[in-house]
Amino acid sequence: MDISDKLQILADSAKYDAACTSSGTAGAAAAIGGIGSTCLAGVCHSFAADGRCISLLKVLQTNICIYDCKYCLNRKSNTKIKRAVFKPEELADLTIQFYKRNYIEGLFLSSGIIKNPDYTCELIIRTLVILRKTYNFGGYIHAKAIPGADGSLLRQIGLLADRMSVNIEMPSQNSLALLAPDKSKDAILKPMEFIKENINENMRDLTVYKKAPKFAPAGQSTQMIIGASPETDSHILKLTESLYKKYKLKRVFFSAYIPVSDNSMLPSPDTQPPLLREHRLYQADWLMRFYKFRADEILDDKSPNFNPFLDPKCNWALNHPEFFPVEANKASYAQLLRVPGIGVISAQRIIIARKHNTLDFNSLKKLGVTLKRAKYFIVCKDAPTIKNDNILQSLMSAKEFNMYKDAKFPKQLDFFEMPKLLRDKEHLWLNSPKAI
Amino acid sequence: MAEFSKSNIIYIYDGAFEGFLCCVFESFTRKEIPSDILSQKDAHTNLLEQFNITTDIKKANRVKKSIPQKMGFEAFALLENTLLTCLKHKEMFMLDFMRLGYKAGSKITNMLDNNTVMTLTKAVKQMANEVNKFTGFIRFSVHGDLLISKIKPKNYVLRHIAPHFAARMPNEKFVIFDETHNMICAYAKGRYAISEISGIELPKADNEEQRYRNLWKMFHDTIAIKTRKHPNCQMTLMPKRYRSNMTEFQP
Ligand code: SF4
Repeated sequence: MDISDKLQILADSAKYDAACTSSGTAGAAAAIGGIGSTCLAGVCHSFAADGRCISLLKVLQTNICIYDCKYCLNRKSNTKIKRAVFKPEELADLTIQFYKRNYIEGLFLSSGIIKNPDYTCELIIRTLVILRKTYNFGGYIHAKAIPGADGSLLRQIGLLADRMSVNIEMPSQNSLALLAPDKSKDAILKPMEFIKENINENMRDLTVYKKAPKFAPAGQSTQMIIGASPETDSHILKLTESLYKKYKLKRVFFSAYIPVSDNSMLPSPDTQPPLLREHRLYQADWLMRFYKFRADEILDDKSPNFNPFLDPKCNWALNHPEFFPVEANKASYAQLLRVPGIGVISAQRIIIARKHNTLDFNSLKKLGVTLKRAKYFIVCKDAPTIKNDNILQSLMSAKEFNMYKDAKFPKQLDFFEMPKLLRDKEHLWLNSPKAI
Repeated sequence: MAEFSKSNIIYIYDGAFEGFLCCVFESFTRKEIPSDILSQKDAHTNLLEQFNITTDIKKANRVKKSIPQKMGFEAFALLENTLLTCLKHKEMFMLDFMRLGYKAGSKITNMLDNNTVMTLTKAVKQMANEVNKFTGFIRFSVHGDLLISKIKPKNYVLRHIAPHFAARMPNEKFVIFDETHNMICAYAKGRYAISEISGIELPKADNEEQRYRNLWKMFHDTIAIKTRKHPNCQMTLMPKRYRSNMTEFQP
């Protein structure tokens, strides 16, 4: 089998993995006689036809697998796909050639489990050693930790890679037991804990000895599949929050389930991937990481799922009239961040600009505030908040508004009541899996 | 400064930062605000009321020194960067910014609700954006031991792109050709130089190069998830104008 066939098979099998960012490393220059540096901001090298950023050569070392996870294309019982294995030399060469031409920022290496977890890890390690030692490659490497592999092997990977990740796969233990019978919760959480410990220890070493070898300097991330199992959005969000806290993760990725098999435990093969739901989860994740929202502020037991028509921030604002309006010239940074239409950058600009001048609507506009949204929630020098029935429309994107218009339920409502009413309708866009 | 008068004269300078500073120098000594400031390249027609300003390093340095002193380093960097942007009438905005800056001092860069300050800030941000895009979207072809690339940027991005690739591949030799502005950046052994050039002929890809291009194109097409096709999204994130020089979008 030639490289081209292998690349096609092993990229095809890897494409459902969501993580693509290559950010988070402190900038590091290329080694003498070497190639490749990592820089602070993630760089996108291209965009695929599905609109996702391509920044890394995302492939599997092999798609041969001894496990049988129901949601996965590479599961042992799937006889419909071709299988291949990259030799470490082949993959290392391909990475360097792509990197030189500026096609990619680095390598994202995952793998099916061939023979056993340790053997799989050794293949990965050999690939990374060739890259780092033979080619002196200083570019970005994201490697998957293989659950069940020996700690010393995981440690070697950590010393070669910039980022490590262990996929949590399913949002609950039940779903995991049901859909990934070969993996236990412990088999996933143990390496996660192990990586966290090693990163912590490494940070301590680095403060003492600057040249200590770095262990996964870009941290650790994880991903879970959304929509293959019945958990609520609120459940997923709380899990996400606790993963950030407990394992100091850099990112949690969500991946809308794309049907890969006809199995009564899974959504039927003609189900559309729940992309809107995935999108809302990323919006909420963003609010938690940059806007100081807590998971239980965004969703709770009373409304456990996202509003399909409004993004979570607007939804929160409409449900908390007592918080508004805020005065643009006095509000704290945290308060400004809660206003729909004000983002991190415009909030920072407001704080800077109001030091020397009292702001009015006109100046807010210049600072990049989206007044169409913000004007209902903010007051400043000359202008009071505007009360207007169009508020809903202005908070929705064109797409959301069209969806809302076409939905069948009475609409002459006070806007503050809208989200409540929608609660029973929320599932209209969810692809609820078949009962398990 | 109130007695500055508006004039019909158009200043013509060499297009470099020092040249622009000499325009500022003239504007202040003549106490006039020109109706425009153009670089020689852009001043095609022989305009009636044009005033050719030859760059005088001494004058330029006097103005140069005063900028960080009077309005801070941030303002200095903002000015330098604005000259690299494609902002229309950038020199006039820069002159206005400096007049404001001499009065306002170092808080000038914070005065984001001022039209001029915001115009400069936005133009530079937009350039930074383009620089960021190009650090990803540039494609090099390997020809022997030389890496060659061609881009078509709106702004003068080479100044910012060159250090990025010099750090990324310190031991390679590369050239980047900016076909919009007919400029070229050449790097070897830790040093790079940017100069004007009047059009170049790029060598054809050999078999080896073509092989990796094909592999990359195949990877690019394979990695997209068909049930998630999203051409609009792909278009906003990577507008067509970037694609002309990207291997994966060639037929
Ligand atoms: S172990 Fe990984 S590759 Fe193997 S079936 Fe499970 S998810 Fe797929």
